[in-house]
Amino acid sequence: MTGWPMRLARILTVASVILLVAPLVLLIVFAFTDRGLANFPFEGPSLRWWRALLEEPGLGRAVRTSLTVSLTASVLAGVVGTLAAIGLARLSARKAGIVIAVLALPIVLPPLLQAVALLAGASASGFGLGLHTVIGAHLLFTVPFVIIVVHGRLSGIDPAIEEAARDLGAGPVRVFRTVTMPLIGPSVVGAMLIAFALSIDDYVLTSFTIGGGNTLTTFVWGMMRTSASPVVNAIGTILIVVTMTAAALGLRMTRYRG
Amino acid sequence: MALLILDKLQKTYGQTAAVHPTDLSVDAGDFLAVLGPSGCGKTTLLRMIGGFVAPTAVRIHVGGQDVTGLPPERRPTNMVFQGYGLFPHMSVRQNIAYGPKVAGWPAAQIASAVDDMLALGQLEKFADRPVTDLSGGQRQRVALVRALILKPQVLLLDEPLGALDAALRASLQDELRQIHRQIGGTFVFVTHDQQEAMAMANRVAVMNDGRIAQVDSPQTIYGQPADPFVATFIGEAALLPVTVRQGRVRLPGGREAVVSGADGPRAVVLRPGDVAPAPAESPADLTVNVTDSVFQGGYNRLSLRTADGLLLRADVAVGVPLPAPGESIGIVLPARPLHTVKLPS
Repeated sequence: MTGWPMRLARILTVASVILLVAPLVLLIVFAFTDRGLANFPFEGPSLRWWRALLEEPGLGRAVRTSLTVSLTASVLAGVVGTLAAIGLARLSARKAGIVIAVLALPIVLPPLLQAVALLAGASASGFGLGLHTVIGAHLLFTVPFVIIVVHGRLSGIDPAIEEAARDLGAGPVRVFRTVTMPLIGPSVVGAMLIAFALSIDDYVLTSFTIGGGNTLTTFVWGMMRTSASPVVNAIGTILIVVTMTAAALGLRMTRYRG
Repeated sequence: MALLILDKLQKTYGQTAAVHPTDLSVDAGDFLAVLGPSGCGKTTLLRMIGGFVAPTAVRIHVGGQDVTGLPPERRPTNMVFQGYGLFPHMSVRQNIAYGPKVAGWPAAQIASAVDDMLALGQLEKFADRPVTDLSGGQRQRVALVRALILKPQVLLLDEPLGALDAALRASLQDELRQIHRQIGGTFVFVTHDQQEAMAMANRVAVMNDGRIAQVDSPQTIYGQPADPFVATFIGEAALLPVTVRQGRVRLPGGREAVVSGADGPRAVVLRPGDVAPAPAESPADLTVNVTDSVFQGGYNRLSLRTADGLLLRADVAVGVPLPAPGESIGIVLPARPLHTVKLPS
C-alpha cells in the first residue's frame, strides 16, 4: 500500500489510538487537579485528591479484599491452568483445540450473562455468596487464559527434549521439575500476572457474586453513584498503573524466547 | 553373542501395521544401520527399543534382560534424538552432566566424566556456552556424548546426521565411526541415506513397509541383495529378466552364465560396475543402444537401453574409448556367477 491509501490508514490508526487513550489520559490528569469536579478548566496541579484518598473510609478494606481475591485467583489460575495445559498437550492438536475452545467460552460470553448464571448457580447450590464465589468467578475467565498461554508454550517445545531426559534416567516427576518447569516457568508467571491484571479490573462478575463488602472496582462504582469526587480519578490512576505494569510484565514473560 | 534381541517385534496402529513381526539380533560391538525409505517403520522400531513406543506384541532383550515393559529411564539404552532434544536452558556441560546427576554419581566423578566426554566430542571450548549458541554439528556432538556418558549397552541414533549439510555429514560420519572404534560400544542407527548406512555400519538392516528385508554386511547387501527392493534401493541396479535352468541362464548373446538362486523366472542384478562395453572382436552378452554418456570425474557413466526397453548403466574408466549417444554397442557381463533375485511384481 502506498500513496493516499497508506496515508489514510495512518490517520485512522492514529485517530483510533487517540480515541482509546485520551479518556485514560484525562482521568490521570484530573487526578492531579485542584478543582472539585472532574471536568475542565484544569485549575492547577494538586495532590489534594491523593490526600483525600488516604482518608476515604472503606477504601483500605476494599484494597485488601481486591488483593486477596486477585492474588488468590491468579495463583490458583496459574496452578490449575498449567496442569490443564500439560494434560491438553498430551492430546492431538485437534482435540486440544476443541477442549480449549470450550474452556475459553467465558472469555467470549457476555459477562452479564455469566454473572446472572453464577448467581443462579450459587443460590441453587447453597454455596452462598462471598469471596469464595468471587474467586471462583474470576477463575472462570483467568484459567482459560493461562491454559492458552501455557499450552502455546508447551506445544512449542520439541518432544525430544523431555524424551531425552527420560532416556537419561529421569522419571516423569524429575523430568517435570528439571526440564519442563524451567522451560515453561516464565510463561506460567507471565500468564499469572496477566490473570492478576484481568482479575483486579473485573467489575460485573464481582458485583454480582460478592454478596456483601467491596473490592476496589465495586467500591469505585459505589463512590460514583454518591459523588463524582475526583478521588475516583486517583483510584483509577492507581488501577491503571497496577494493571498496565502487571500486563506488560506478563506479556513480556510469555513471549516465546529461544 | 547377541546383545540386543528383538523377538517378533510388532507395532500396529489400529488396523495398520507400522512394524510387522520382526526378528533382529545385534551383537556386542556392532554398528548396525537400519536403512529404509521414509515411512518404512524404522524410527518406530528404534523408538520401541528405546522405550518410547510400546510394542503391540513381543519381547525386547538387551544383554540378557527383558526390557519390554521398562520405561525409557530404566533401560540400558541411550538415544541420540532426531533434532537432538538438547535442554535449551542448560549449558553444554550441564546437558552432558544431566544423566550422571540423575543417576546420583558423586560430584567429582561427574566432573571428570564430563571432561572426558567434552574431549571426546571436541567440545572443550564450548563447555560453558548455552547449547542454543552452538552450530548444528556442535549440537549433534553434544547430543552424542550426552548419551554416551552413561555407557549405554546399546546406543540408539535416530537419523543422527539428518539435519546437517552434506560436507558436515561426511566429516561427522568419520567422527562417529572413530568414536565407535574408540569406545567399542554397540550402536544402532536409523537412516534413509544408503550412502551413510554403507559408510558407517558393519551391518545393515534394510527395512521396507514395516518389514526387515535383509540384514547383512554392506558388501553382501550390495553384492547379493535378497530381493528386488533391496537391489534397487541400495545403489543403482538394473534387473534383467531371465529364466534360470539348473543354475544357469542363457544370455541374449548366447553365452551360458552361472547364476545364484532357484530355477524359474528371475532377474539378474546388474550394477553399473558389472556392465562393460565388449572389447572389439569379442562376442557380446547383450546389444544395447547408448542413450547418454556423462563425465563423472573419475569415470564416465553410460546410459544404455536394451531392445526390450530395460535401462542399464555402465561405469567406464576414463581413457577407454567412449561410444557416442545413439550408437549401438555390445556389452559384456562379469564372468563370475551372476546374482539373481525373484522377479519384481
